[in-house]
Amino acid sequence: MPVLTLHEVSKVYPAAVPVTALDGVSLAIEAGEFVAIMGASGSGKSTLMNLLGLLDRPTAGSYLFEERDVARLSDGDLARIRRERIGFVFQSFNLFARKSGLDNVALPLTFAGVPRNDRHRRARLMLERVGLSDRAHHRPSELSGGQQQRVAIARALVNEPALILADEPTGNLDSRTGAEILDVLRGLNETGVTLLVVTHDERVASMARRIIRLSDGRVVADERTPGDRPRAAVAPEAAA
Amino acid sequence: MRPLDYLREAGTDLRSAKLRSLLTSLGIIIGVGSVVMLLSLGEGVRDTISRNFADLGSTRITVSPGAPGRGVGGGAFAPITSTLTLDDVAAIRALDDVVDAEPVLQAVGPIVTSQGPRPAALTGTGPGYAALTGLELEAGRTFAAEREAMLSRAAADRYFPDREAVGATLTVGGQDFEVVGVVENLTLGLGAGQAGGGGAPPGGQNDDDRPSFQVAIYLPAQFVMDLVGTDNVSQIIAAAADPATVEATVERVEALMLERHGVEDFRVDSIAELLESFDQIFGVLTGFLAAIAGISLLVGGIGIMNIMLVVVTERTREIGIAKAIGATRRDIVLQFLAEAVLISLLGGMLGLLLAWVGVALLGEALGIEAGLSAWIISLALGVSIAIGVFFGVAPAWRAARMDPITALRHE
Repeated sequence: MPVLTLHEVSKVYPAAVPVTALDGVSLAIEAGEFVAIMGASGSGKSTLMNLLGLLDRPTAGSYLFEERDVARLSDGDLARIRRERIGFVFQSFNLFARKSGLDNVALPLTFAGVPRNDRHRRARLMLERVGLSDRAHHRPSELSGGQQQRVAIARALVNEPALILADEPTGNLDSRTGAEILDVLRGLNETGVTLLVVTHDERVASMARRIIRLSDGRVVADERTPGDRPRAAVAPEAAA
Repeated sequence: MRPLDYLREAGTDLRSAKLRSLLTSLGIIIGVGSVVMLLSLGEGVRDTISRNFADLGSTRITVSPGAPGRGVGGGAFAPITSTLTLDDVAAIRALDDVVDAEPVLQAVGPIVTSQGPRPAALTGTGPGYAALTGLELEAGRTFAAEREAMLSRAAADRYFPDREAVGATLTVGGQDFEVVGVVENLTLGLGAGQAGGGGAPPGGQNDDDRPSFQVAIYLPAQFVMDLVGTDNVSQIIAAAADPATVEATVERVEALMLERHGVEDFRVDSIAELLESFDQIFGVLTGFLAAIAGISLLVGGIGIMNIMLVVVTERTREIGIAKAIGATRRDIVLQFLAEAVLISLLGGMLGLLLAWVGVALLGEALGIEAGLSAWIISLALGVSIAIGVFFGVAPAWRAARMDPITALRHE
């Protein structure tokens, strides 16, 4: 079953001269994929990211998320899907400065109305999964960039989403920490999490098993990469 | 989101900016504090005065000269000339539901004591006067025979500073009177006499500071009437037998007087009626003052709205994140609303605390028994919550309507 399907999707921003950010994009992403979306700035990848993440609606074309037509969903429905089926990882981490790591991770569960004990238990599990269980009560300002991004990944994971959308997840990190974060993401993908990374960094993209290239709001390439091979073969490379 | 989580989130946010939260709620603190203090003190004054009136006797009925309404408006002016007589007093006293009745007649003139002649205020009345007015006998007994007099405590101190007044003699209009009793001073209802205990004025006032109405010499009514050459008394005071049916007794006294005089040249009042109109006037007055003080609540509410708008702008990015990770509009609205209400409620509670201290101190200073009643406390808290909701809605709505993409880009 595809997680999402785009058919001839366009996004036009109204202005004196209307700006066409996306122009007839069609693509489908299956469960368990690791996809990189690449393109220069202005290519429409942020717009695509916002559409895929249900933060925005297409001007034309159809978008099915888990076989539900986004055009027919209310804002409240979209918020619910974001909360339950999509996890966001941002370039600048976007953690709440006044909350501990644990509370940041638990926040989507708070919005979902999960009782406090339950959400803390689940948030702790997620922090363990990203290797940060010993920092649960630190605030973002007391964590390194890499640690903050791990907290953000744990937050994206906590609702066990169908899709994780990562927007330049290593963009604010040095190359070593960035590599660690990519390892974490790849590890998640290997446990079955569908992963979609927006990046302009070829090294990041090279980890993905499928690269979609955008230019001027159109898909100009959609190819499987050498990274797309049996999982057993990936593991030693990841360890290296 | 669960209801408790809205409060928890709001609490966390408030704690992260303690000083700002406190300053924001200052308007509410002052507003609630002053309104509650005014209402509570007003209530205390009313209670105290009611109690003092009740001490005077809630069964008390007075008959005064002059018709109700005559000479007021309508262009018809009329001098008030008393037509009340001692026979009226006797007739009223004879009514079944009247316990007692006495005349009252004021006069001024010289008296002679062991220290020589002095000007004095005389009150002509009867033996039942002390009981009818609720004045306590401090020494001796009430006067019964023709040549006996009774003094107020202030009069006893003034005219017989060196000796016990009871047993002394004073001369009025050539007649000797034996002082047989001393009663406590009249008070004007604020309870100073009572508060001082035993009629001694509070604060160690000396004799000359005493209000002159407290210096009273009580003599038999007939004697004072002869002295000033009148057949009439200036007022009749009476007591109804049953406090529950004072109104009916008032009507019976009115009917009796009308029958006797043929015209309505008198007015019958009861303490209960007086108390009612006083209550009304005072209620309006305190309500008015409280409303003025309430303006600061409005200012406080605007202060909250102002800060909440700043907070919403400050947290634009966080609002974007919250929306991205699944907060609904409702979540955002309720979260900011909870914060505004919490600030306001916090202000209300601190205001109540302030008022509690203020009422205790001022009540003590003014000799009023006052406290915060349950209805005032619940009103204050209810109004605080309402202000938080009213002034928090606009900022909360602004936050909820933000576009997540724009909000996320906000630095």
